[in-house]
Amino acid sequence: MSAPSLEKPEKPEKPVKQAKPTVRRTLPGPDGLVWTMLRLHRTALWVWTGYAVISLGLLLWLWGPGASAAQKAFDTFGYAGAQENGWEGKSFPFSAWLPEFLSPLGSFDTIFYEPASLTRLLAIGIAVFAAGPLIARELELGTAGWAWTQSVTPARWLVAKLTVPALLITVCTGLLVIVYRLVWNAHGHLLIAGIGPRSFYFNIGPATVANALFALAFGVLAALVLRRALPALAVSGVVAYLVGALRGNSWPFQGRYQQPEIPVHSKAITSGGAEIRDPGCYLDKACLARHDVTGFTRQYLPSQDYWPRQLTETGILLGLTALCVVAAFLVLRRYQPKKTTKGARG
Amino acid sequence: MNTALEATGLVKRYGRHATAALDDCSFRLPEGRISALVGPNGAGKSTLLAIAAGLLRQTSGQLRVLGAGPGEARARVGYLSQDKPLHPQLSVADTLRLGAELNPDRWDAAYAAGIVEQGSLDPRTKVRALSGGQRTRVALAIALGKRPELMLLDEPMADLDPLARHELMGTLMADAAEHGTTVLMSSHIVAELADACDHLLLLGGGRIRLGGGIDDLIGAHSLVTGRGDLSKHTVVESRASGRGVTALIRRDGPVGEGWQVQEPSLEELLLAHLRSPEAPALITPSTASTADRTAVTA
Repeated sequence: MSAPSLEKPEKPEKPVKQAKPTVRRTLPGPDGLVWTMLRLHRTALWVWTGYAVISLGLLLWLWGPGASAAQKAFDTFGYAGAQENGWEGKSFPFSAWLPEFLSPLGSFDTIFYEPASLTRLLAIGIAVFAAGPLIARELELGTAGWAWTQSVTPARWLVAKLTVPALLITVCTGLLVIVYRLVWNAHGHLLIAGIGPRSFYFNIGPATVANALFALAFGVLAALVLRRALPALAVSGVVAYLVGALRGNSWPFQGRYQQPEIPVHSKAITSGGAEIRDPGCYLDKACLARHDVTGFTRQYLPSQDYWPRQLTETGILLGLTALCVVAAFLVLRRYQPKKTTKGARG
Repeated sequence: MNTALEATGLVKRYGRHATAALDDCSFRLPEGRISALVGPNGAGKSTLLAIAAGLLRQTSGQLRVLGAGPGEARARVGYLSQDKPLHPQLSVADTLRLGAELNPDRWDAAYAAGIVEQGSLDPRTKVRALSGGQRTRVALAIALGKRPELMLLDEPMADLDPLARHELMGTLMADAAEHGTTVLMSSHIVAELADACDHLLLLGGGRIRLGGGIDDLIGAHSLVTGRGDLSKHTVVESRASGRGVTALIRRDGPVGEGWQVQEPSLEELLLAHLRSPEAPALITPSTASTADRTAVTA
């Protein structure tokens, strides 16, 4: 024990790791964490796929056949026709057979906002998922600790837990937002004017994606801080709901300045092709004939307020997301032993 | 001799005012030993293993695991916690696959699958449908499939039937012998330890009370019956028996006349120390931490 020899003998029984992993790997990934994520949260992945399919399906339907009845009414009577169509609600395939009280379900005007409502619900869903099944349940079950005693550090585990959902959220929500704006550009003029289109116009954009990402990061942080699924789930659900409620028109930086008007170009077209003021005939065909109106054009013009508001909101949400992520990694360090390896006494 | 695990003044306190689960705990576990970690409930066994596995932050002191800080040699350390957490929604086959994915450089799929097959488990069974013992088998298969250099096992065999316990202990010991794996295993089942282990760490009051090779420790103690003066020796425990006393002593020199001397069994040694928490600690030189040894030689 005294006079330790300088050259340590080679450890003779050190296990030689010849064992080739014979397991088939289907997905690339430096340590299989991606596979692990997808396998462990398969149910969530199905729910997510269901959400994406329903939202995208609704949007495509709105883009195509869903708008045809409203467009027809618009072509005949102008904005008044589209308005009437929105109130009557006859564009949904089976709306003629629906009971009277369900008829608003069917109009282009009401269905148009459904995917937007879904994105709001989605943010709450993401927060609840991130707090519960993604993190806190693993902490409660002890499977998080189990993963950390495999060859994976907690930090890399958390990176996978954040990036895989974040990637799916960004790609999928981003796609929905783009399609949504296309539908808006094509058919926004068919909506009943008022707070509806304005609120929608200023709501959907990059900030929608940032909102979902924030929900993810906040849920993860809440789970790591609270360590238990139920409280974490409740807190992050409420916070995601509040942020969603603030979004669009009630951020402090917006002051009392609610959604501005969106400029609109709305004209009637005569048989000669001239654009004139809408004569205000409403659904009176004789009146339209008297004014020689054969068609209408109506288009929302881009608002100067859109990008400043969207980008401020996106910036704030992404900033909060980044703070949550940093905080999550700091909290995660409390779960591990101190890394001080130097300074041995004696 | 290389060191697998070395603690120096390790303290862990749960909450600011709670009594310490580990209180200035120092020891050294040489490489290649199969060590039993015993102690009464709440002695800090699970805490010590969890810190070594990199799952818990110590309050102060330091712990070196395979020459690195705790949690820095994750790939080379296998850990089985007391409650054997596994994902309930996965099948046994998927659980093994998870082991492969999370241990890409070390995974021995055939070996892990073999351990599961020995228990005649259907790989398609969901983990939530397994009995406690079957879960232990799967958890142990993953811990072993990783081919660790140091195995930290917290009550590994508690819920196994005697047959499975015997068989899995055999697997574990064969693996340790073949690859020179160091094993630190907490258990209450003394008979199991006596067969399998060659080294002992007895935790009590948050520190090591007995530490060293089992043969050395047993050899240092005697079970004596008779009458007379024992003050020369360290009496761990003594109780009246017949006209004299039966005592477990730590010998210091030869035992005097009039005593009937026996070698204690491991069980007797452990029980005597568990019943007498005030007995002074005994840590053999190979198990004393480096800091303590330098203090002694200085």
